[in-house]
Amino acid sequence: MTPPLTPHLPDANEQAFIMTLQKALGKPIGPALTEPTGLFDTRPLDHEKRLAAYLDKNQAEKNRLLEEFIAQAKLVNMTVIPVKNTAQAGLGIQELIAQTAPEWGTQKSVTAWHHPLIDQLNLGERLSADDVTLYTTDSSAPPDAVLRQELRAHLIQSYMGITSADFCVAGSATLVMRTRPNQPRAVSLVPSIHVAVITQDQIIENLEELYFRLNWDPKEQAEGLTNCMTFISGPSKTGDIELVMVHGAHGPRQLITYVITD
Amino acid sequence: MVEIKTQYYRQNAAKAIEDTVLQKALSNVQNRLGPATARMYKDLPEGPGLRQKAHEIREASINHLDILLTRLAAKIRDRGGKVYFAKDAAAASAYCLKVARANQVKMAVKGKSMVTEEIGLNPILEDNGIEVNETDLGEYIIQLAGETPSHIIAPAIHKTRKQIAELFTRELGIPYNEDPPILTQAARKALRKKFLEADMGLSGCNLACAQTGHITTVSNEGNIRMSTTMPKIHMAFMGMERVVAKLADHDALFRLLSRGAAAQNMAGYVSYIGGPRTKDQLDGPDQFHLVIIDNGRSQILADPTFREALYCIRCAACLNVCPAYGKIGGHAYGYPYSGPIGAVITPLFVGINRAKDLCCGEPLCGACKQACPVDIDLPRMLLALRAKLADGDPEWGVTRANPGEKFAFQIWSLIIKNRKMYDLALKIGTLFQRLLPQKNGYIPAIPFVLKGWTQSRDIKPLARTSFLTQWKNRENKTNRKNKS
Repeated sequence: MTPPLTPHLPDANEQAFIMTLQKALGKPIGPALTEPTGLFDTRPLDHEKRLAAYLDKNQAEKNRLLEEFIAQAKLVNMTVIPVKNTAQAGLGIQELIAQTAPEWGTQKSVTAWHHPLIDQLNLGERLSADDVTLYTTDSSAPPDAVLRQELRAHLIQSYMGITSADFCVAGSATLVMRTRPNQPRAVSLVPSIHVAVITQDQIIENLEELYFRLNWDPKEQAEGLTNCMTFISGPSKTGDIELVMVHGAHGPRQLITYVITD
Repeated sequence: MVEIKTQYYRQNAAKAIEDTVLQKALSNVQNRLGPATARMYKDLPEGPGLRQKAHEIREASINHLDILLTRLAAKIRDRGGKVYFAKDAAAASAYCLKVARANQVKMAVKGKSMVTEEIGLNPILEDNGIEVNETDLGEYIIQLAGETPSHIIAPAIHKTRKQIAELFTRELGIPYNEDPPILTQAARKALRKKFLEADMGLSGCNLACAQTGHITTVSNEGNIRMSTTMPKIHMAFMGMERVVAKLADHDALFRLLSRGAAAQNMAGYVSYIGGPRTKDQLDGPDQFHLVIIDNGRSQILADPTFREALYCIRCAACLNVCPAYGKIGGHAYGYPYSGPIGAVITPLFVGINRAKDLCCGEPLCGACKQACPVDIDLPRMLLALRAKLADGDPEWGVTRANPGEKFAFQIWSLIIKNRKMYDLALKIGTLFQRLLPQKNGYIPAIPFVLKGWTQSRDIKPLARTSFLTQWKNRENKTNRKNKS
């Protein structure tokens, strides 16, 4: 829950700055008494109907969105693998780890979010026999400097980061994730391979639906955007040398998304 | 402050046109990005008309900038972020330096940001013993080469892979290789170390959202996410105009920004950042600072003729279609902002007289307006700048760029308003043109102040007898015939 807006006293810099703007705009100087209608989002009259339509998609619609997501993902070099259940996803990741090699060093380390869906993958058991070190971002204790330093070290060591996402925008193959206590943002960033696991229900149509739900779904409203919401559409890439597309500029070189369909 | 070289526009443009490597690079960018962006506008579900809607969104944002910035600052402060309002470049840099010193910052990593180029942040930090590493691959390349960006989103586009390979061999000590993936990997390796060691991350801001209180950063490489996640301090710099009211505004604008900038559906990474790490979070910076910069923008805001220039979201789509930019490249403009948008805002920032050649170099063909994702009428503003240069303007402190030209036109206006004077001038003209060389019935060169007229074309000499005289003579003849 975002705390309610507390009145703050603007410093002298801010006051002078805003006054300059008001002068330039030909407005009366001083705090704005009323905000013009329509400037900020206000709840649309049909918001309940629209929200219900977004939340209750039928199976055909869900399948269309999955197909759209797969098609769009191809364009941005994201691999999408539909699987029936978490067991299949877990197995897929296990195989992926067996087939891939770390970019820096030789030790195969993996960091995974502590997250209801990711926990169900049973990665601990699956990887125990192999020569793989698994770190999870479970911080039952308050994350003091030591814990945070540890996470950092694990992440730098890890060649794969496993996360979920809050939404997946089909129209542009965009994973949307917010930073939460056990879901640090660097897991989708520092390792060379990013694996995301989502359920088919999380696939939405477009940005319009995303922003509508963030604004008017009471569940999303309560949490707000948090202090860091990230959109990820494909692996890291650059075209800065003669416009030649190269994957893996600074972020992950590969992005694989498992979609659980059942 | 950043070095201003707008007064060398003509020389630098001439040099650029002779540079065959640059010419090839520029046509590569324009041939690939320009048409691709136009196609993507057409394929939008709302059609290209979305650009006009985006224009209205930006117009409303700019007209309520006071309300939006107040809200943005309050929301960010609520989350424990610091907001600093900087009236000019010096204040912004000084604030950054103050925070860096207070936290014993030794090394900073920086995501691509045009406004930090504008305020000349790097040299100030470097002069104070702070190492600054550009992390966008293009920016990294030009930092290693000791140059400045030549394109808003593809800053090293003027360099070939061969030049980059030589540069990396020299500066990074890697074996010579021209393969872009291998060169990218070398930069990735070198910069990863910097990201993990840096004490401070610097970034720009693409479009803040006032209602929720977030800035946004957009990149494809992931370097901005790295710079804003790994170091313990994140400081973001935004031009005061880079804000919209609400999330719904981002829908149209992000889709258009991605299309305008790189013909993408959606940029690779977009981050909404609204404050420092909360106590229960495992990562993210401990401090978040937002520096909101005026630096001459309020003067643009105050002038209805140019206010529209503040709608710009810095996607560089206008650079990718401009025939002038396509020939002279970004460096000729002599300031971080190049192309049609640079030709409008650079004079407004550095002085219209000082940058007078920029607006005259643009051809007014209208391509930039069509390519602009927020439908800014750049040709109109280029013309307005030319008008100010012709007539002078006390409000912008513009003196007549060419008083002689103005005087000549005043004389000309006297002449054409008076039949007798006009005929006399024609007579004198026909008399004097005999002194000029003629070739195939044309005059190939006029000397002195008028020589520009024949620089790229020959002109037809004045007829010995004017059309009107011929007509009169003819009529007289017929009349005489009829009478007799």
